Amino acid sequence: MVTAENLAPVLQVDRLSYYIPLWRGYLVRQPAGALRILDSTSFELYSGEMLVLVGESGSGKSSLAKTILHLASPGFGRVMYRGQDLAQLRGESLRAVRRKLQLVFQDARAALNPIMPAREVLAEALAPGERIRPNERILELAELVEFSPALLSCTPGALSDEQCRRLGLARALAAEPEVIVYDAPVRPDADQAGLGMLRLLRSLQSSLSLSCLFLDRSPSPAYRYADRVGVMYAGRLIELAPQEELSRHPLHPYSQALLAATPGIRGLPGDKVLRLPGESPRPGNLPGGCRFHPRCRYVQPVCLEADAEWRQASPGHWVACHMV
Amino acid sequence: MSAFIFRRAVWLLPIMLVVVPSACLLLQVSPSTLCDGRGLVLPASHSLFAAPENGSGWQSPVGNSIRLMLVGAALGLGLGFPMGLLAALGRGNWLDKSIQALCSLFISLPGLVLAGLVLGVMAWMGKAGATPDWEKPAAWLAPALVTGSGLLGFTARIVNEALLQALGQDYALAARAKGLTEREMVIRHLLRNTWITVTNRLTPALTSLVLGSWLVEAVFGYPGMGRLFVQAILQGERELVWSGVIIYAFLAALAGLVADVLAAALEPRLREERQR
Ligand code: SF4
Repeated sequence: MVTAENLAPVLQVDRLSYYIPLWRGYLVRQPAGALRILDSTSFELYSGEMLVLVGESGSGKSSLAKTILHLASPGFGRVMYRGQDLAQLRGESLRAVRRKLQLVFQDARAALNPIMPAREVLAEALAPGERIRPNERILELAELVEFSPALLSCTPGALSDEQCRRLGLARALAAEPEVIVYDAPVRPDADQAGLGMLRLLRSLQSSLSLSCLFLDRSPSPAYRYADRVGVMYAGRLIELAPQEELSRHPLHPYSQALLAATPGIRGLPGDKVLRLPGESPRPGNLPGGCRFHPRCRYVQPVCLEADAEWRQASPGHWVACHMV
Repeated sequence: MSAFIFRRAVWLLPIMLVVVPSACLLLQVSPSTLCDGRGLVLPASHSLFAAPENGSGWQSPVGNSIRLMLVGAALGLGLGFPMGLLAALGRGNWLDKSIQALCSLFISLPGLVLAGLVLGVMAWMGKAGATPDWEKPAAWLAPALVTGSGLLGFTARIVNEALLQALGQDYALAARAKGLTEREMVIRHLLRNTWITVTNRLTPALTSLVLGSWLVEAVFGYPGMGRLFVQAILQGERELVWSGVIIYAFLAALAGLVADVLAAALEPRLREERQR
């Protein structure tokens, strides 16, 4: 396993936020607050590691993925790739960095041009140096992700969801990236497929020296293959720790409840399921202070006033909670 | 592809089989001057097809009308597509807004009213009055533009909508993520998809272009079928009205066929589906 801290970070995400501004007024537009889709989320991705972020749908995972790649422009905060601030890059240099950071979209089918055959999808994504002998490389990529070469002439309409997903991964790999951001699908029956993809990614990781950010809905499939695990809640990363550490000592009350509710994760204090009252808030009506306070057992007056700082509780174990 | 065109063309037969008798029936029962008790004669060698002395068949009223429709359609599509593109790429700027306004105008104003307006403006500029020389292409411009205006507005709006929608799709994001430039992305991924959307929805716009053209012709005094058609109605020339109805119905059905063939040529999947 990679011991993350002694390696250089490939990607630094610093207080990243993504807001959608709201307007009101019939004749004159006036700002009326914003939807806070993603809020001050910070973490680092180290070379060669598998970082899994878990959070239910609506917790900002997809927005995080798109914001990291600067496919959606962040409201605040910044993303650094090997020390370069992505927001400072323009034109050719931005495109070059984008090729190094590849995303496998949550909805793999929607991310494929409906009229473009698989072969063309891959050909277009090839690194410029490889366009000389594209066919061999395309076959190689298909083999890498276990995508049948017979399907290369098909358009997405003729492919299954699983095949679209593999094609999406092959397209990401075609650019010879350093980082793969994998946004796992939301369908509840996708766990098994998700596990397969995770295993595949894990094996590709070492041969292609990839760093991988895996965004998943539930912690169970992710756990076995992760180096570090982060937990997202209502648009913010609220805890981040090495996998073992998080299983043993989840610090944030939400992480505790989430892990307790997930079968197959050992080492929790007591074995009882902690039930959370209520539901996750929507981006339009986040509670003030700590976004978890209406559901938290340990809530204190300070929790209603200010959001908790992101800090290290112990080396490598980050959390955002006043009471830790 | 030729099989598809053939099969699609065969469908013209039943359409015409419905149109011809029903036009006949309507004329028989109509209480106007059109009904004088005589039977209907087949529209064989009418003045509609008569070319002027020493002219070709293209200069007969029918030929003139078809030419006007073709030029109108070409102008509508040819101007509408880039306008929609400009509007979509310049989201929200003044160009986008003025194109949108123009499109709403073109779509909502009937050709008849627009033709009147254009004539009014031309008169005000001192350009109208004398009968224009229809041999000159410049004289065509105004009626052809008015004929194509509905199609122009429609095309621009569909292109704009389809592009905006496609720009927000994940596959556009994916193209950006691959490191394509904005221009490569639009050209390689979006234009063709947009064009498919346009051709898929072209049928009603093309048929209404055909059916709207005779009014425009009549207002401009263009030497096509439209003028003769109006005269025929006013003077109760039944055969002429009947032939006119049939010719227009045929052209409208043909326009639908052209739109379908265009759509199928771009999207093979569609071809297979419609063949079934
Ligand atoms: S900050 Fe307060 S409300 Fe929020 S999770 Fe911690 S204890 Fe609960």
